[in-house]
Amino acid sequence: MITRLRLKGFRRYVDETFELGPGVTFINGRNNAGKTTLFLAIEYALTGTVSGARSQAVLLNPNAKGLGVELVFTGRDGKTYKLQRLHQLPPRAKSKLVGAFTLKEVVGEGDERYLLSSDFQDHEDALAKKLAEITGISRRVLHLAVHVRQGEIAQILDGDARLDIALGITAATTANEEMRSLALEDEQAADALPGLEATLAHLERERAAATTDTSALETRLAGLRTESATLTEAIEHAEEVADDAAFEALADAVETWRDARGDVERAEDALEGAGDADAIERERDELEAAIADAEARRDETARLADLRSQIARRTKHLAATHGATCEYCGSTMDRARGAAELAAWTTEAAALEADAVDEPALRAKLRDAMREQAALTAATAALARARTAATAAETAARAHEPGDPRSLEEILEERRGAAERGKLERATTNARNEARLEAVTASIDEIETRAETQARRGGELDREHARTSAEVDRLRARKRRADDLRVLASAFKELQEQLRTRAAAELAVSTFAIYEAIAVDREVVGVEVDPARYQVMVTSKDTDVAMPASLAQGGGHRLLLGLAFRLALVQRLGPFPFMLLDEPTYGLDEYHRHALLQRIAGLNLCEQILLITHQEMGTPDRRISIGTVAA
Amino acid sequence: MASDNPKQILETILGDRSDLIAAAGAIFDHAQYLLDDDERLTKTGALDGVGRDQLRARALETLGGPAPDVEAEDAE
Repeated sequence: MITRLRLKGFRRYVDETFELGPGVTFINGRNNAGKTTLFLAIEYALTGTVSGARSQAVLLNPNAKGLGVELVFTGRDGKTYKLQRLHQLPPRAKSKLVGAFTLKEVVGEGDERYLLSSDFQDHEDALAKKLAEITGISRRVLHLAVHVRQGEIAQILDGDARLDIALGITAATTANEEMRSLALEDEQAADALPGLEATLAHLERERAAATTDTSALETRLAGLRTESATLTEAIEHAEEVADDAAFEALADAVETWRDARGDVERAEDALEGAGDADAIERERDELEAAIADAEARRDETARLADLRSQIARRTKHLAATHGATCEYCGSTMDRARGAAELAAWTTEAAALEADAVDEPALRAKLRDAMREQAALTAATAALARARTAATAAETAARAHEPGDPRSLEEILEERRGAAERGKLERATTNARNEARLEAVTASIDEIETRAETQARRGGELDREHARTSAEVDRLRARKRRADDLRVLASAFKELQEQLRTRAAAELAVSTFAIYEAIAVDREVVGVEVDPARYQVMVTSKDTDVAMPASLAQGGGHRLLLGLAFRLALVQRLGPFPFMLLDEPTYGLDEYHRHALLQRIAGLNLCEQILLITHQEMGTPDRRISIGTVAA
Repeated sequence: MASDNPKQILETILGDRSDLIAAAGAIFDHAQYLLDDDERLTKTGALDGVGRDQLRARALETLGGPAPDVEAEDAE
């Protein structure tokens, strides 16, 4: 129900608001007063255009730069809505109007909630759908049923192909066709499903086999890697054992012992070369005694030295000058006496020389003897040390093989043999291990290569399986959807048949009932509606033959039938919150006009009927006189 | 008297397929909406190709599932 209608700049209205109520509201006024403009404003508000108008510009008040309509109404859901629509000239434009709309829900006193707005980029289609949802009035229904235009009432008696659309028959037909078409597409796509399912099953088997192969390869690889690790460890251990630390320690100890033994031998040799200690001791004693004797005879020695000096000088004197002065006595040298002295001195010197002892030589010999004795002592000490060291080395060497009574050389030789044999055995084992490791490594490489190939193959299989599985899922979904589409297509087909079969018959029944309710003179005794064209056929009381209503005699009669048919449409397609009847009584005489208006008011087809008439009808609160209020 | 409302009739027809009732109503409403505009009609009053494509798209959107054209690309 429309509760308020405001027009601004709309044709002859500058700015006018109409408050409207339920039931029938009669809109009176003289010709060209602006009555029909109210309905055009409602149509403009609902659709953005007016049927027959080339553009909104023709609706613009000549003195305005924009036009607008505000419609406040109650929808079928009982909620109150405010629909505002305007077209205005943008700056610098001269003719092209730019439109805008806003639909709000009035949720309380002065409280509104935006539903749709062109300011928020909402499209006109969205508004049309929303209005159809809340009012039940689509553009087509508005033109066919809700808005009954002046002079067009009887035209519908010849049928209207658009009625199929308004009644939902075309929608059902179209939906049936398109659902069938879509189902066919899905079914054709799903034809590939069995083949793909077989491929999927094959891929699953291949994947299972590949998984088994991969598992076997991994198991074998793990075994080989374990063996490889064991062999590697054995080879490394063999290298460590080859060093035979115990044998090396023994050999080192024996070598140390040998060195010590060498030291002992060298010390013994040195000691042996150092001479006899007793002889050295005796020589030393003798030398010391001789030196003591020499010290005791030092005067003789001095006398001998003097004599040798005197002899030398005297000899020189005698050879020099006869008569020279003696250096001892100062007398003149007497050659004879000189010769005698010389002979005496020579004799004495010879005697002294015969007993003379060489003390420095003795001392030198003594020093040599002392050095020899010291060397002997040192050699003795060195030998003792060498023997101690040799004993310690032997003890240390034997500590490596305690309890073995054999000589160290024998022990070492025996151990060396054992070490050599062990080394040979280890070398043999190691060679075998290395050969086996090489073979195992080669096997690992080969199996890893096979595993990689297998993994790649597995990956390819996985991807192929995923692709195929997804495709199978899609095709299965399409097959299920095809089934649903078939069901829907059948439902729409049945709906179409039911609507077509029932709509015409039921419209005929409703039309006749409404006709009987609004007609003063009932000329018609039967109404039929052709289901193909929706042409209204009537049987008059004068004839038993049905004939097209448009050919019925009398304009008033055709008007009544047309009005009845349109009201029957409202009854069938509704309920609608309002209905607009523009001059439904046009062409009737005053008596019939008055009677018809009264009867329409009593039909109770719609919560609100706005009815334009030249007649002054209804009570003042149900009447709008345009001639007095319009600008 | 049987209902005049197409959607109520659909509900009755689809009785044992109640899961499709909402989809059927939506598809019917959309068809009605498309047919409401004369611009989308052919000379014979049927829905034109663009309108039919829109109806099919809405039907597929309502029912869900793969889009045929995308699927065709995937299948390659």
